[in-house]
Amino acid sequence: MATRQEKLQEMHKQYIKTERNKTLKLFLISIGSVIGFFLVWELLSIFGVTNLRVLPAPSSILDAFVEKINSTAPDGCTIMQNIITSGEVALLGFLLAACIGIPLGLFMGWFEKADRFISPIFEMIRPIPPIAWIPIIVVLVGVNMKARAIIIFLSSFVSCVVNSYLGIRMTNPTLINVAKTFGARNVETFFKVGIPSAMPMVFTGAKLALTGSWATLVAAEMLASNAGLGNMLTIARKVSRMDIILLAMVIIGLIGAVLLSVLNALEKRKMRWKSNI
Amino acid sequence: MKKTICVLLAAMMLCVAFAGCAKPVEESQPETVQPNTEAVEEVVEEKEWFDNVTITISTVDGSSYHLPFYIAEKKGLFEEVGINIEYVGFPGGPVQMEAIESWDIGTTGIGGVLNCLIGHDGILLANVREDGASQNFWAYNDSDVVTAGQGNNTLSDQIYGSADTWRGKTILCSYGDVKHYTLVKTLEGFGLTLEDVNPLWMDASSCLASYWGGEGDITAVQGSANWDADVNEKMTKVSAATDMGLGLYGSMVANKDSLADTNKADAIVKVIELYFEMMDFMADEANWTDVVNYMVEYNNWCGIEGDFEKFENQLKTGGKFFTLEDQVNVFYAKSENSDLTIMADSIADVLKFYEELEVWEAGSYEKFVQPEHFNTEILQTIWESRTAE
Repeated sequence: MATRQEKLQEMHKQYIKTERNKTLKLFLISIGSVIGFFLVWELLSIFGVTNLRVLPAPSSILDAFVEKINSTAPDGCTIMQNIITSGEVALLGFLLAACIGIPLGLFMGWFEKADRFISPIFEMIRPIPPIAWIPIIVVLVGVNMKARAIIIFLSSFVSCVVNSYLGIRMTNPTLINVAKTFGARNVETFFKVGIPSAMPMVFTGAKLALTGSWATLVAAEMLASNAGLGNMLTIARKVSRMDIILLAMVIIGLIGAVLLSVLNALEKRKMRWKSNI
Repeated sequence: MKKTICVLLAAMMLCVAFAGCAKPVEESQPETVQPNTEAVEEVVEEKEWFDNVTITISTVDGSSYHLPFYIAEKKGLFEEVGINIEYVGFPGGPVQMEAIESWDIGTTGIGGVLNCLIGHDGILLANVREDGASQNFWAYNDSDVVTAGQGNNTLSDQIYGSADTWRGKTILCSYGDVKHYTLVKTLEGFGLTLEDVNPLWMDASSCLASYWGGEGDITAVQGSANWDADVNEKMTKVSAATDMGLGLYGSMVANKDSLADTNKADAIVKVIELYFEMMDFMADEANWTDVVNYMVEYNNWCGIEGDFEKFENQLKTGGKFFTLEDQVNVFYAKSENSDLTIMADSIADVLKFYEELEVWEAGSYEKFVQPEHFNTEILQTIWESRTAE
């Protein structure tokens, strides 16, 4: 006869198995929707519903991907060289934005004097599109990887600051009062109550910054680049290679999705205390 | 509730008032230069009427290829025959061709022509001007390339520098277009290849700004910036496509659907006829001052700054404009090198270079030379009716 302990363990195993099956089903639904989308697109191409010159079939995009594994045409680099170059630039810009923007947002959100000092300047910079900074960046920094990373930084920085700021401002006053009651100083409360409380919004800002960094990649690589997915897209445009243009877009989207999922996994790990992650 | 309705009504009235204050596009254009009116009356011999059909003309902003269209419009020649002209400007040829469905006829450089014919099944009608004059490379006056002097390049004695001074240089250039082509040819004349230099590929419009910002040793310069006072004072033109006789041309192309549209086809022919009549007007030395003033006006309208002197230099040194007679008697003749006309062959040569470089994929040449991509009948007909008179 199974003991109570064994029965509980059995029930727990069953629960874990059910949860895993559920997760797998949801994952398969997501994969299925993507596959279904491409399937419908391919069928529309086969039956001539779409203009192949304007919107090549997914199979053409796959052919272009296979071609680009070894071929450097038309932009001078293989697909892996482009991915690595873009990855370096995008991640550098994103990490810069996160390392500067998140602490700045937290600081502004907690310390009022800092907020009053920095906010007016930040609010002026905030609406300026990253592309508008290109002429100044060219003159100040040149046209190297640093310049491209700065453009991506500018597009990601705002999300990091704003979300961190809002996150810490939304700290439950009760928690702050409890900390004060127990004799915590303002700085101590900032680190032990404010920052942990702001983490969900900080991660949200980081995710927005990550998608922003990939979205700005094409503009950044137009500045000056011998390689990169944005450069590949720009050159493909010059020679009417819609299949390569779409390949660049698909890869940018896929890599962005993968990086987001990495960030999601990090968020789940770091904030296990939050029940709805 | 009443207050809300009043506020909404007030806001609507304000919107209507501001919309009414907006200037229509036509009024935002600068004042027309007062032309020689006698020349206007001579140009249009027949007063046909096209029932206010709208023809959309495209070009790269500030391009001198568009100038005859601009002059014709300013003189009211299209209006006289009942053709409404809409203008769409683009930052470059490939972008212009992406939007081919939005225009009927246009002028563009070689990059645009290749995109038009290969990528969008457009039609090549004419070569309108030499293009090489704006395909130049520049370096600061104290650069070792400049101080090495001229005469060391097998393709042209006008090119500055030597193999040693060009080797290892960082060169700002756009990839996959005629500047790229000019650079490769320049290096060939020194016995060098792209492997011997450090090309920094970027958008053509960024090259000069980057150079001023301290990047690179040599830079390509885009369009009318080649005639900027600053550029000519501080820098030396170290290589030019015209010096090497590369045979680069700007062209007139058309949207094939527009030519097939019975509502528009005749009007398009008339627009082309007036374009080449303005070419003749421009070729007459008596009209030179007016032509330069039109060029200034047109460029300022496109947002490109410059004075009379700058644009006069650009027109003088920027290459020959090709008249209708040039099209029919020169460009439509069969090339010695192929079955194509000289017009098509000149562009096909550049395409072969791009195919070797793998910028354009293999098979692009075969797509380019399809007979339906070339129309010589329109200009032949205009020429025949002109010579018959």
